[in-house]
Amino acid sequence: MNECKMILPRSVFGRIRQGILHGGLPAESVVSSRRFSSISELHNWCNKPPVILPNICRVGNSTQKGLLSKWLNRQICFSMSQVHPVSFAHSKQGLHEDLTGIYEEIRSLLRTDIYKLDQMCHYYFDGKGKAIRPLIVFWTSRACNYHNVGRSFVSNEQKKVALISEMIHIGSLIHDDVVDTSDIRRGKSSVNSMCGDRNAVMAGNFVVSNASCLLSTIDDTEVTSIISHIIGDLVRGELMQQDNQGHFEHYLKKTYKKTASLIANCCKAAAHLSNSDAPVIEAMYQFGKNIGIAFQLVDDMLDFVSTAENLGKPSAADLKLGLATAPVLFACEKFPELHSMILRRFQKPGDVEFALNAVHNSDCLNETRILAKQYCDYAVNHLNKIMPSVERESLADLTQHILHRTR
Amino acid sequence: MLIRKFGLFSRRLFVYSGSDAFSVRNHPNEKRNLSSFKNPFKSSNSGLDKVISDAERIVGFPTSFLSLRTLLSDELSGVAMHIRKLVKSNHPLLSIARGVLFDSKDSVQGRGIVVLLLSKAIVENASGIDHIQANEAFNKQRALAELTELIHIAFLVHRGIVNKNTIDESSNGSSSDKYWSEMELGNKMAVLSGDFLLANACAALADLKNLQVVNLMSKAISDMSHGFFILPESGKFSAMASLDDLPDSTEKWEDVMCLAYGSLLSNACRSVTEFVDMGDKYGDVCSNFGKHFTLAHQASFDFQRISKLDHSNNGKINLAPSELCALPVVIAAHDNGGRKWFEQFLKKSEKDGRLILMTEELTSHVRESSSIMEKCRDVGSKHRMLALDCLKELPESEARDSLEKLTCAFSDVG
Repeated sequence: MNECKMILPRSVFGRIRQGILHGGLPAESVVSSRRFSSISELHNWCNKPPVILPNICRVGNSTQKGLLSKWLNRQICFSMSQVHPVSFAHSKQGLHEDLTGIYEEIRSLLRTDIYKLDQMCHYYFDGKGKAIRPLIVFWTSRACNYHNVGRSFVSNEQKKVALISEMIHIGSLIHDDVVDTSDIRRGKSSVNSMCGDRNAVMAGNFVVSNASCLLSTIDDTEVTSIISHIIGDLVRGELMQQDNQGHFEHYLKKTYKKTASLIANCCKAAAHLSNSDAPVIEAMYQFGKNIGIAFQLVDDMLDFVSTAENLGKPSAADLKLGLATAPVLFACEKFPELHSMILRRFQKPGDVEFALNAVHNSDCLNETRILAKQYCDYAVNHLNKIMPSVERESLADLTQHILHRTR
Repeated sequence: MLIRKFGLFSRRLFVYSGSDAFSVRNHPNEKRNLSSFKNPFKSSNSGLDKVISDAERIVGFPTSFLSLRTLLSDELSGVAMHIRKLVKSNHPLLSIARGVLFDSKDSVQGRGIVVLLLSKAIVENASGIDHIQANEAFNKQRALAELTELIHIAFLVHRGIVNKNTIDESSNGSSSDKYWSEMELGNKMAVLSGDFLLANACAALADLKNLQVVNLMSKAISDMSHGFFILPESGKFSAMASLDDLPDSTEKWEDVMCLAYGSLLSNACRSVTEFVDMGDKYGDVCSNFGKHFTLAHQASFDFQRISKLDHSNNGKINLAPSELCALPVVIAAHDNGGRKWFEQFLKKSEKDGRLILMTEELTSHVRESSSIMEKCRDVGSKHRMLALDCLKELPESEARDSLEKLTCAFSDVG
């Protein structure tokens, strides 16, 4: 996980040696994936309009990434494809340790004698997921506890919220795969294509109901309400997704319910469990909400730019499902004829191709990223309502990571 | 307004939990043979009707309306619109939806009324509870009855999801793209509407503000997912990948039926006692009552469906576990050397190796053995007696009497 490939210019850290740019890292860990013959060539390259250039840099350290991205005026998107989010905050001691063992714990909660069901449930909890939700809950818990009592720790109850967040997420993924009739998720065949749709739905119910069992062991009825609210939102979001309205308000509302509500309400629950006062709880809720929407916006954008291999699912999958996501809605401004296609869910032959073309021939991907960046900025603003701490900074850094991820 | 939304289904909207095991429907033309079994309450259908209408009088309102509130919300109207497109397809969702919403005035929701009667029996006799507290407890128990029915209907809807590989088989050569997309749409809607009902149940559960009850009901949902994972559905969309997990003894049949059907009622019954802090005193009794009540009913249901010659069921979908899991069949398999015995009634699909059950051969074979049918009846009466014994532990009341009558009516092994 220490692998860091960076291109760093002289003015930031390093020097040019044999055309390879070195950073302020141990020399052996620095490998450029692109050679520049001179600094001016690098400058030229950097001054190009913002583009997404996957696999150019792999960055393992948030401070370096932050400095680098400042210097480059945020014109390059960094590929983090090989970097697990855990290693993202590697320099910040102990932060990633919260995540170790959580999948084992979830698997033990889901243990059953029925071999097939056991297999199906464990299939998704193999520890290869991004675990971004538990990570946010852990950091939020620590940041709030630090804010309240001056000590960074995760309480038992807060840890349960982290587990619940991942379990609800996976449960909803399993059901989404049946709804979207998708056979591939995270690069492997999804549960429903293995064991049949009906049993996949049962497995999803099994995972979520066990999350609910775990929830009932948190001795706080307020948390029960907060979390059970998520489940309602997820379903309503999915129902909203079934009819395209072709305007942003509907899209953002859907995005909140389907993606952001889970993160937002888990942050809220974590903040509530650290005995925070109302403004802090609200701030953490808002942080989760904004980062969640940003997350989905980037996801929708990546659906157009990433290859199937990189994303773990077929690209332009949303379009093929008839979903109108942010890039398409932005492209609508330049290509008004898209509007009727959105309403008919790209059902007619040629619709998908037209939309793909429209997206790639307009500035809509960049506009989506700018919108996502705005949400990230809102998220960071809300973080400023709590006392500075390592975890708070990590959460702020995470917004940048989410913005620049490529998978 | 509401009527327009669900205009597809009927003019009168009634909640009816499908023709599965637990609901009771009045078949005016169907006469059951009662002579062979001594039943203290002569449960002809009109008798059952009377038991239920008495019970509804005791709890104070017709339970058929229990979960209507959720079913008629705005969000589901979108789903109803999509379901419209399925009218001509044979996706089971439509029949289930029709079953849930149709104006079958003789339908009743068994679980809801049991929960309400039980709470009446306990709350009225709870010591140290004043009128206001009793009223509050009863309101919560009414919500509990409602969400119990919601969970049940949600699972009915989810169980109607058709596996892709069975679609092919049952399309009888008309496997056109349209057929496929209709089935896909049907599955989609089944997942979404089932999830929607479950989410509403979750919200209602959280509103009860009782962690113990949240725990019990979550356990019930978990058990049901478990149980229906094991139990394949009967009918043409049945998908049986392997026989390994199917019950092959009465004990295993009891276990899996407890998961799939018993857990919901049993945990709901235990929850009833939690609201009035009587969990220590009556928790186990109520939970056991729910369990034995369900098993007695399930045994009676299995007895009847195997002994019945006509399986057409008036063209209505009969959402029930595969006949392979019916109690008489399980007993027969056990007596004949286990699961291997099943194999003579299964043929392998040439296309994809899926196992297809020859239902008629199986049921007629089992039906002919009077000793097997007798054993099945014994299991049913054993659980009926156990359920009635549990009731005797409760303080005497009108509600308790009504529960006794309900138990007998529901577990009629005619």
